[in-house]
Amino acid sequence: MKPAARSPLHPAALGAGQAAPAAGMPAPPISALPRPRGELEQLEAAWAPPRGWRRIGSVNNIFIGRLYIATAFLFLLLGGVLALLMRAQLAAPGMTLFSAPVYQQLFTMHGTVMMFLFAVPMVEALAVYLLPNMLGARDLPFPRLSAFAFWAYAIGGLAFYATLFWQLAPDSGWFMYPPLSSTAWSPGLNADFWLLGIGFIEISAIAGAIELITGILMTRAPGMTLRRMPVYAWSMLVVGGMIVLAFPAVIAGTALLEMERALDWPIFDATRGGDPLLWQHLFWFFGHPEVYIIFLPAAGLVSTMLPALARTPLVGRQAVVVALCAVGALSFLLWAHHMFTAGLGGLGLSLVSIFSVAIAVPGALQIFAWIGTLWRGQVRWTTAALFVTGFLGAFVLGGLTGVMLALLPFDWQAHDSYFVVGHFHYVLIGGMVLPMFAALYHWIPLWRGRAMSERVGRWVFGLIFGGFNLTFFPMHIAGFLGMPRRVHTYGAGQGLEWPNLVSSAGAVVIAVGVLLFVVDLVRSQRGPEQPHSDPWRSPTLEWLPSEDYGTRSIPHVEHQEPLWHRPALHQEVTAGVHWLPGSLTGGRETLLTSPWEAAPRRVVVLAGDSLWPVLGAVGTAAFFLLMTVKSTAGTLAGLLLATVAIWRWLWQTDAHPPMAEGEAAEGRWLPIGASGRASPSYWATWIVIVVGASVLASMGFAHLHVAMRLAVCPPPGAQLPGSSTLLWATAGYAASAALMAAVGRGLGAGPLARWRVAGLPVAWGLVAGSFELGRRAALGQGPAPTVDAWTGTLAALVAYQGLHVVMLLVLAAYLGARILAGLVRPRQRNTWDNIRLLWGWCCVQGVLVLWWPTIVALGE
Amino acid sequence: MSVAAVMHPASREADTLAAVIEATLWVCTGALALAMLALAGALLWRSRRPVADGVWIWGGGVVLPLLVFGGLLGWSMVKSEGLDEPPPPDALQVSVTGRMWWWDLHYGTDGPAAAFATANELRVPVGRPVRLTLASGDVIHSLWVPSLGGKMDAVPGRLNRLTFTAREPGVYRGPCAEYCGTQHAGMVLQVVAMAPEAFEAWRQAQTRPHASADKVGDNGSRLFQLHGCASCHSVRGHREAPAAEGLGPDLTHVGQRLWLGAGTLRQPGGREALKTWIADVHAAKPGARMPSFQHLPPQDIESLAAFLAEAP
Repeated sequence: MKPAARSPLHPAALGAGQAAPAAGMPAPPISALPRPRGELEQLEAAWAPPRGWRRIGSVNNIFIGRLYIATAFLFLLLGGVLALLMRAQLAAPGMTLFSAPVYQQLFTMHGTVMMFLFAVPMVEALAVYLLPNMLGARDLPFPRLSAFAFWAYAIGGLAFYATLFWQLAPDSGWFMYPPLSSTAWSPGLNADFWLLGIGFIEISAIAGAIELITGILMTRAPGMTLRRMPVYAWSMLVVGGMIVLAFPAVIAGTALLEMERALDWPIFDATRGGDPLLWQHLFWFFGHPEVYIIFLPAAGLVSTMLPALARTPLVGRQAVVVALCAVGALSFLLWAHHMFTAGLGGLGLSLVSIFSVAIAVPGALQIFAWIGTLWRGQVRWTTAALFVTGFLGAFVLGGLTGVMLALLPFDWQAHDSYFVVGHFHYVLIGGMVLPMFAALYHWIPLWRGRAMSERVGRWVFGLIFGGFNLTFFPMHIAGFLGMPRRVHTYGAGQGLEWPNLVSSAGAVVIAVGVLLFVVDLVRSQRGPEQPHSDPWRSPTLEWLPSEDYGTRSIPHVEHQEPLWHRPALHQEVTAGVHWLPGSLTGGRETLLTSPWEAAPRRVVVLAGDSLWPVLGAVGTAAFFLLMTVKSTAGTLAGLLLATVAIWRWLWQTDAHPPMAEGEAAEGRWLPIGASGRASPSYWATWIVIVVGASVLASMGFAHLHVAMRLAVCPPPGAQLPGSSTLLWATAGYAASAALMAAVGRGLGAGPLARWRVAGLPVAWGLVAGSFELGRRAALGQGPAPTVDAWTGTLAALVAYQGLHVVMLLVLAAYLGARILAGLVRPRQRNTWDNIRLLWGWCCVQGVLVLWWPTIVALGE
Repeated sequence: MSVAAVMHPASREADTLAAVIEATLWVCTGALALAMLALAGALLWRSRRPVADGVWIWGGGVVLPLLVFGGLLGWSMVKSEGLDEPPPPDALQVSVTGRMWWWDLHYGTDGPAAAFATANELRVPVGRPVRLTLASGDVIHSLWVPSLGGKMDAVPGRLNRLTFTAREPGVYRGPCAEYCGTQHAGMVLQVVAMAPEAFEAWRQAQTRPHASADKVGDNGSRLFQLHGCASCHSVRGHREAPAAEGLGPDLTHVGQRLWLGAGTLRQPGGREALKTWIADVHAAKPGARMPSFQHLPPQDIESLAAFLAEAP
């Protein structure tokens, strides 16, 4: 490999990167040279992708990441086409290119596709592709989970888009406010398809969050302390946390809306005690963090690209990291600014307004950090740099219109007008799409070693950036001239002709620019793969020479700009001088390191290629799709396929490590395998529990919200369960949890004896019995859930717990099978530990569901 | 032509909003200019220079936005305090119910003046506070008359309030501002602000029954009942009992309204617009809930239009 050129940096700036080795950590070289013969071949063999058609079962993050990026980009194009059609209709007043109902499907799908099938998947896809290499990990902690999440998203997303061709696409707007989206006003399957489409994104987002959090905290290269971690990794860590806390609200909301539509439980129906505003609270509690989930990764990408482009470290790097965390946290307080005109009233709105202005401060901090970095450095004018500059202009403008909208008087005029449409396109396109193009131009040499054309890139930038401003700036004016959102046409004589015409022209310019990008992409990537030449002389690890297995050896990191600090890293890593230069077990391994200091702790064997995640995704997609079109046979077939596939996939994981220890570096022996708190799967399980708890909290909030609107609580005819019933059921859940603990006693000393399996059906029986006791008491005597929202939300809580009882049955069966097969042993216990955690949570949840309605009623 | 422009306020409330908006636009344009100047400097100034991190991060990134945006926020809150006050007891009370896709208006009793219903055209006196109570008969709508004030949603199961005091006579457009289905774009409230005496005269005329015209008119009245129009549309004074609530706009004195169909068809006078509407409602407003009356013979349409226009 060609050595990297010495970096032309100001010494003082470089010194700020904490170059001292962390206490107790060796300095390179870590592994002795020469490396044993056959070691590299063994590494390559472990990571070799499957051949032929079985390639589809590859789970390597490079393979999945590329497909993921390509699929998300495809949805950008598909959503963009819808926008072109809309702009064609709006180019002049009174046009009838599309009837109103068709136009309404177009704008609903445009928003839904862009937000759910393009933006969030794209930021996840870029992380799947870039993050492991940037962190010095060989892959993500759960490669099969990423594969499953991707395939479910790809299949589900494409099926969802296809509803357009049958005029079955949703048409109540991308945030689907009831009652318009309820059965009364949207009787067809359209709204159900939206709920379905969202379901796929929810799965892949949660899976993504699990990978991000565990990967960033547990698999970084040794010596990459949190302070040295690239800013992009910080942004993805914050985003992972945000996904875990925000998505559950929309998961709960969509589940409730589907229950209202399918079962006629009146959650949002005002005529039966429900409240349309409940949907808005749930949706926007997710929806506002969602836009920062989309923006923060782009901000992180810019913070990571900019030092390479400006050839100087990021100004105020630590403050930028704090700002990212501040944005993430603050974003959860702003949701009601989407409801400023809903009639909520009073102090709450003022507080939300204050917070909405406050979030501009960490935003401004990052802007000044970036401009400061440009000021200090010397920009290399690549196309990526052009797009970053464009981002700076567009995002500042969009952010400022956001500050305007945060002011109540301003919002009372601008809300739901084209001003808002202008604002959010500036922050979404300016704040995410432009950085995305920058990132694609910047990192594409990682793919096949070839950069794109700089000459064509200037045209791409000019057309996209120029077209973007042409399209969206006039919308602010149209809004102030009284043009509301989501209108399929507008009248002549209001002054709306020229802003709309200019917008429509701009859309065509953007389309030409994107087309040019695609053409140049195809053209520039033709020809054989070649090693990239580190063309931008970047400081971060993803630019080390790498193959499917990542780098030959995992780099030892001593600085926050490792490649600038130690230019010899390129050759050292390839020669195998650093950590884990081969495969100790013959499988795919990476290092687990401590969350803060990244001290090497263990070597884990990652899950390998398999067709089961793909089949599981097919089954899951089929299950949801066919359930939506009400095909019982199809739904059951999909469920069966998904269950079998996921079972077979999981069965191969949690394998017994072939040896207890391995030499990860000269004289450094690390345990192989991890269980308990040292295992990423343990934390993944906790993340799932937090998600489940957040969904529960949202559903509990729904019940509380409708209860608070009742004059008499519980409503006439309804009955709270008696306290003895509640106590018996609580005891049942507690007993089940205790029994599960007993089943696994002594696992630390030796394998679990097969007779322990007997405890599982009893434990499940206790859970099922307690559930049924609670269900009868809560819903058995009172009115049916279709009668009023109090009972409806209660039934939803009970149904949610019921779903978990069914899932526990499957988990009990799986665990029983593992025990019977002798696969639950002291060093092979992740299955046991994680199922027990989930079991415990389900019991806690069961108790909460039992008592919540009583607590709410007593509080009334 | 009716006006809908945020920066052309015609009420005290809209004046306040416009003042806040204008000041905000200036401050934010200034902020944008400052940021772009810094960016341009960073990109165009060729030589490399050291950067005081503290100044950029704490000065530019924290203190500056806190001061500028905090100041703007504080000022806007003070300036708009008056908008929160409850309307005076002598405000004109009108209840507005948004329905797919028209505005159902009920004027309350006002001293000696009786209550009455109308639709799609809200006439108000200049200089007197008007207090609207907003409700919805089906899905969420939103009342927005940019020249007269901010918007307020009409949410099923809730009653929201909106108050404004028109400053000068004029006709002001109020498009529905919450997506509500097929004809969301075709649900425009016209607000006509009039001199107080003119408003009184209008209100008196509204409370009087709909004129039964001459023979042709009587035929129209008969056809109005025969073809089922009266089951959805109330017309004060028609022999048929008032229609069930909320099915269709009240058509008493509809011939005097500036528009038909909630802003769909301009009605300059006479009966042409009414004839166009009745003859083919779905050509004018596709998706409207009113059934088609294309099958009626032209002379029946003529009679109906004449009846509704209160003119021979």
